[in-house]
Parts: sequence; C-alpha cells; structure tokens
Amino acid sequence: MAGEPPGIARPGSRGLAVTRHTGGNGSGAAFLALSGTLLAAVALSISTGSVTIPLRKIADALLHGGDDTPARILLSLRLPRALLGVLVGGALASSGVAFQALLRNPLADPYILGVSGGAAVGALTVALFLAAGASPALPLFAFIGAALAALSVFLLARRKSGVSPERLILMGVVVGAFLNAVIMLMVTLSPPGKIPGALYWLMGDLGLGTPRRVGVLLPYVALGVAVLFLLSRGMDLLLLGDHAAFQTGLSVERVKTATYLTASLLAGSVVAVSGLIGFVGLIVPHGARALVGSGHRRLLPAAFLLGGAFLVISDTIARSASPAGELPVGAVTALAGAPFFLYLLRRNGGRS
Amino acid sequence: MTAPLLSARRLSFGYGERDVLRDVDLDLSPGQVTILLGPNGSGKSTMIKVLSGVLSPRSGEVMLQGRPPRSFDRREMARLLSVVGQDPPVDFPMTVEAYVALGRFPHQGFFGGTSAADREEVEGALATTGLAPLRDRALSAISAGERQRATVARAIAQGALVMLLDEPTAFLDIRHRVAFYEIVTRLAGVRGVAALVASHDLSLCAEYGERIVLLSGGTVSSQGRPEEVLTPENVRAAYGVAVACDRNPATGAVRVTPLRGAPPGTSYPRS
Amino acid sequence: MTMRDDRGVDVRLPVSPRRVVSLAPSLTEVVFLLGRQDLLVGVTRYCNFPPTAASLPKIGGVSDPDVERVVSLAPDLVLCTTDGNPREKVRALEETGIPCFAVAPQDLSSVFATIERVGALLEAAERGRAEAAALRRRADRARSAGKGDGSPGPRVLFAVSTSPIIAAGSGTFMDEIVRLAGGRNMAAGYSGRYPRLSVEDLVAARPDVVFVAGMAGVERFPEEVRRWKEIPAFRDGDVHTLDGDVVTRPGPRLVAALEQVSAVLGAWRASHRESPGPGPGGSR
Repeated sequence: MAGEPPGIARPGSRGLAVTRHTGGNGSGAAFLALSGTLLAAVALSISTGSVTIPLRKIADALLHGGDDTPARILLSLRLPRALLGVLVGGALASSGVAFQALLRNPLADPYILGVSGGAAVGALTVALFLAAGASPALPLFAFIGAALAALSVFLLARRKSGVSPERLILMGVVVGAFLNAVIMLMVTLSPPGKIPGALYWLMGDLGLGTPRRVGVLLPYVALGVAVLFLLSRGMDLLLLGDHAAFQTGLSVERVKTATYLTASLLAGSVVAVSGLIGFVGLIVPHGARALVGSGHRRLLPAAFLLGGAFLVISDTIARSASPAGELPVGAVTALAGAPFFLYLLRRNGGRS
Repeated sequence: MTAPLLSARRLSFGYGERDVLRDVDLDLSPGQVTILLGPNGSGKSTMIKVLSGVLSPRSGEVMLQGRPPRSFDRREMARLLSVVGQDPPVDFPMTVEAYVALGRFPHQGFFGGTSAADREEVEGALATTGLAPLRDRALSAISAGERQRATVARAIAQGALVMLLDEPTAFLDIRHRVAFYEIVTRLAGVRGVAALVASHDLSLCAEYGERIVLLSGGTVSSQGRPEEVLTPENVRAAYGVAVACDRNPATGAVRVTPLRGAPPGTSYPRS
Repeated sequence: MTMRDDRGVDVRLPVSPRRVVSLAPSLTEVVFLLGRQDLLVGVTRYCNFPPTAASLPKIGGVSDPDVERVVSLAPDLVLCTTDGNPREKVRALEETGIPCFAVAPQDLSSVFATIERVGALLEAAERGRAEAAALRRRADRARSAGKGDGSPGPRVLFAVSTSPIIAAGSGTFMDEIVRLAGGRNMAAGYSGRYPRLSVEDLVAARPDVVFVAGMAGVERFPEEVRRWKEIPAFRDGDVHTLDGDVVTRPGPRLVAALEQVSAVLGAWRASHRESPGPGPGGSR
C-alpha cells in the first residue's frame, strides 16, 4: 500500500564504520602525523651510512654547510638521495592514486599501462647496445620509452566512444607483454657482462641521487602532482563510472585524458631517474585511503607524503641492512609492501 | 499546467540500419511523475540516454527549458538534469555521505569548496532517502536496496529539477521498491521535480505514476493516465501477455493481473 | 681410459680424441695453450682468444649451447664446465653417447691443475705439465713481489661495474689475484661474491688503487664518484682497466692479470715508500 515511509536503519546492519568520517579534524591529525613521519624518515636516512657522522655534526652541516668530508657526504650524497626518495616515492604514490581512479581498479599501479616495459626497453637499449657504462642518455631514453609506450596504449585503447578502463587495461596487458618479449630478446642478444648493471637499474636504484638530478626532477614532479591535485574532484567522479560522472557534469573524456597523460609522464620521469621501484604506487594509495578516506583532495597529498616516507625508509633499510652490500630498493619495498598489503586487505574485511 | 521542463518531439534514434526509437513525443512537467513502461528491448534505456544527452538523436529534438542540450555546458546541464542508472559498483572505501556529496559537483566545479548550501542539500538528500543513520557506513557495507537509495540521494543532492531514473528497482524487494516510489513521489510533490521512471513494474507504476508512457518496438504505443494506458489490449499489444485490468478496491488505482496461459509464441515441452 | 671429472663422475674417455668441442671460452684457451687446437671442431660464440679461435664453428653460447649442433659435429669428447653450462644440456649430450668432461676451477691452483688434466685428456700431458709449471712460476714471482717489505699493502677495489658500483668480493678470482699481489680487497668483508656498494662505502673504505674489469672498451666511473678527493685512488688517478674477459675466465690468462695487478701494486708501494704521506695528484 502506498504511504509507507522509507525505513530507518535496520537493527543489526552488518559492518562497522570502517572508514573515517570525512569531517575536517580527523584528517588534520593524519596530515600532521604523515608530515612528521616524512621528516623523521628523512632524518633517519641522512643519519645512516657507512661513514659514522655524529648528530651534532649533521645539524651543523645542515645549518652552516661546510667543505669537510662529513659535510660533503651529507650534502652531496645523503641529502640528495633522501630528497630523491621523497620525490620518487611521492610521485609514484600520486601516480598510483590517479591510475586506480582512472581504471576504477584498486589493483592498478603506475606501471600497469606500459610505463615499465617502455622505460625498461629504453634503458636497456642504452645500457646494452649503446654506451659502455653509465651514460647520461639512459634516463632520457627510459623516459622516451615510457612515454611512447603509455601513448601507444592510450591510442590503441581509444575508440569513438572514448577510452574505457577495460580497454585500457586490455591494451596495457598486450603492450606490456610485447615489451616484455622485446626485453627478453634484448637480454639474450646482449654482449655478455653488460646485463648486471642494467638489471640493477631495472630493480630500482636511488644511488643516482645528486643535487643536480634532484633539481632536474623537481619541476616535473611538482607540475605533475599539482595537475593531478587540480583534477581531484574529477577523479572522485570517475569512480562512479563514466556515465554517472558524465551525468553529474564532468567532461569525462577530457578528464580521463588529462589524468592518464599526467600520471604516465609522472611515473615515466621518476622511472627514468631511479629505475623500476615497485609496490609503492600500488599499496601507498591504499594506506593513505585508510588514513584520510577516498576523497582525492585529501588522498593525493596524503599519498605523496606517505609514499615519500615509505620509499625513504625502504632505501635506508636497503643500504644498511645487509652484509652483502646494498640491496635493490625495489626488493625492500616488495618485501615490506606485500605483508602490509595483506594486512590492509584483511582489515577492510569483506571489501572487494 | 506549467511549461514542461523537458520536451521531446519526433525523436528517432538507431544504430546503423536498425531503428530503436521512432517518432517519440514526450513532455516532462514539474511536479509530475511519469512512468516509462515497455518490455525489454522496447527502447526505454535508449530513450533515457537520448533525453539526457549521452546519445544524439538521428532526427527530432530534445528541449530543456526551451533550449537544445547542446547549448548547455556540462555542468549547467547537470544542474538541470540528473540521471539514476545502473552504475558499476565502487570498489573503493567510500562513505555514504561522501558518495552523496559527489552529487554537488555541478555546483562546485573543480576548485570550489563545500558551501553551506552544499551541506544542506546533502543533508536533505540523506533525510529524504532515510539514509542519515547510515551516513558513515562504507558503500560496500550496506545492502543493495540501501545502495540504490544512495544513488537516488546523490541525484537528489545534485539538485536537478529533471530526474531520469532507469529501472532502478530491477533487483530490489518489495519493501525497497515501495520506499523508492515514495521518495520519487515526495520529490515531485515537495520540490517540483519532473521525474521519469523507466520501469517493468506494472502494478506499482499504476499506483504511483500520474502519467504512463507505454513504449513498444521503439514507438509510443500509448500515453496518458494509468487507466487510459493500462488496458488489456494495450498490454497485450506491447508485452504479448493476456491480462485483466480493474480497479484495486483498497487504493482505487488501476490493477493489472496476468491471466494464466502461455504467452503466444511459446510452447510446451512434449510430454 | 677413465678419469673422474669435477662433478665426481667417472668419465669413459677415448684414448686418442680426434674431434673435441669446447663449451667454455676458458677451456678453449686451455686447448690452444696445450697446442691441441687442431682437435677443436666446435667452440662457443664467446670464444675469442686467441683470435683464430673465433673462426672455428660455433655451437651456441655458454648458458645456451646448441645440443643438436654439437651432436652434428660428431665429437668424441666434449669439454664443459659446471660453472655456466646447464646440467641438462650436458646430460643430453651424454645420453647421445658423447663423453663430457666437466671442470670447475675455483682458484688459481685448480686452474693449473685443470691445464694438466686436460693435457692428459688430449694426449698432451707433457705439454700440460710444462705449461702449468711455467704459469706456477710466474704466479710465484708475482706473489713474492707482492709481499714487498711486509708493510700492509694498498687497499684495493676491484669493480666489475661502475654504475652501480659492484665489486668483486671473496670467492672470486679477482679477489684472489688482489691478495696474491699483496693488496687488501676492500670488498672482501662483505658476504656475497659481488656486493653492490654506494659512493659512501667507497669514501669510508678509501681504496688506494681501483681496478675495473672492463667488458667492452673503457669503463669510467660517473663524475659524481670520481670527484671525491677523499678516495685516494681517484685523487691520485690510480684507476686501471683490465680486460674483463681475462679476469673472469678461469683460464691461463689469469696469471697475466695477476702480473699486471702485481706491477700496479708494486708501483704504488714504490711511490708511497718514497713519500710517506698521501702523494700529490697526477693522472696516469
């Protein structure tokens, strides 16, 4: 019969309030904590190394500079490396957030749509066939490779009706598989002895942090992250599905294109500098969501801070934990990341 | 009767050779609940897509407040017209309140903050749909019926005066269907929304619809008040099913009852 | 005849092999050293020393020898190594009836022993013993030169890659060479044969001499590494490149590498005995 008012909340409704209220104060504390963690991670990183430097000396060098060995180690080696970790970790996390929104898929990461394969092919071309050793051309070729691969995935996935997440993933898989085959071919045909260096690059290496490199990377990361932040509301709406986003007033194709290109270039530029560091772009977005919720206006900055802290700490562990020399930082992020990811999945219970 | 907010005249649409809609005329006026009825494949969903601007008609025109859809920019259009459809599930943790608040985008844009008006609208939408106690729950932690209501709430928060709802009660139980129609009726009556609901539900729509538009094979086979449209001849012509139509003694609305017997074109297995 | 190879397998061998295939560049070099290259009918594509070896028929690589091609050459003996040749491929060859003799020398003295054993296999036992003895003498000379005056030798970094910096640690031939030549391998303290090092590790360890195992042409350290004057090797320009093939192959040329390293370290000792403090900079 007509006239029944809609029901009140049913008693015994399942589930706890597993996400934060999107009110202001909760996330304010979270941001404070994240910033503090990032600073602590950087402090830990610059205090760690094979040369023992007393804390007082560290503070002195940071404040007043200096030309002696400890100061130069701090300012030319450790500090740029830490800053590079912040930039790379933050950029990867931000890019991961963007791809997860674009593809509406919690398992997306910055490399899923061709960036990693393209960067690897570019870098290997230099390392194996062109140069005899460290070459400034390597980051450039890696970036070009990443950009070309991401662009091909996009163009292949595009149809008159626009770019759907399903097609993007499909084309990403196809292009990725193709590039993996190219990589295997390159490794097989390469001159002996050149592979180890290239493989280490592929596993991620923050050891190339110099003040100049940090300075070169900074504007790209800043620009990319800023553009993504401007697109945050758009990313919120993309989560609803293309039609719903369209009906709610979003220029869906334009926002998708902008998000895709920005996130790909962001990932490509950091891969060019530091190789393929995995897991950061996949799990940091989830960790940040657990702290500040899914609203991208808060999520993007939170992910940047958390990603930077995570990578800097992983890198510190990678270079000090093993008696066998430096570990590849990508191995540490995976070893730390996988259990953490499992924990997050279990904590969020019956979520998909 | 006030001027229609949305009018369609001689609307036609097709994919390639095939015509899905032919020569459809439709008016949606403020405060009126119109039910779009028709069997599967009659073009209901397509009609909603054409009316909302997702698809462009092959011929004919759609006017919103007297202007063609093309003359609106995306956000302006969204402030006028909202759609409740079959959305893919959201795989990310999001509270009901945050989800409903997304409906305010046409008023905020990329850079606008959350104003007092925005908060009010979200509150109102939550209250109308009875979701206020669930505001902090994750979308994945509520029932399908409650999720459907959240989608309606989001459209309400959007504050549009025209609402197109595409089979939103398809998989819901009777309790949630009733709740849904109550909400739509309230919106039309209190806020003056012009609502178009595409539906399968012959009985409920007779109860709640002021106007029925019966689509069959892409054309409007009849439209008008429920008692005018829901006749055995019309229903058989559109659905291929024999029914009896009378008045429900308890409510006074048209009541449609299927008559037993196989629909024409189906056959029994040989025993 | 039967001889036990380095796998512990007793291999039945032809008394007079006529057609021999080598599955490793080091073994090819050994065969040439013994003067028995006339027996070789197939080598790997990496066998490039002596230069005439490169013109012999190729049977694939070290980790990917082409079993069919080897069999098609109808060898009566295959020389292989457990350090690089896949076990399954060797087994496949043995199943076709071809005797395979595997060696895996881990240090200089076992390299010499390998030369003698292969000599015995190829009817060149006399020559084998002579060559091995000559190499032993050269190695001994280098070692005594390395003892110097008993003072601690220079700290040495032996790098196989410059970016990232990967060093040869304990258990490698390069480590043994450095030790014999009287140097102190700074990477010996790490567990693992090829530890990766950071620039800071180098600043902390301050190697006096750096060797680079160049793979193709000159391997240069990146500018960021070279400009650290705290590292004596870079400050004084004491960075030397060695042919990568030579120092990684367990073959006769290891002794030449040893002599080269010994000469460099000897020169370092000499220049540092004259001026006890850190010497003035000067490129070599």
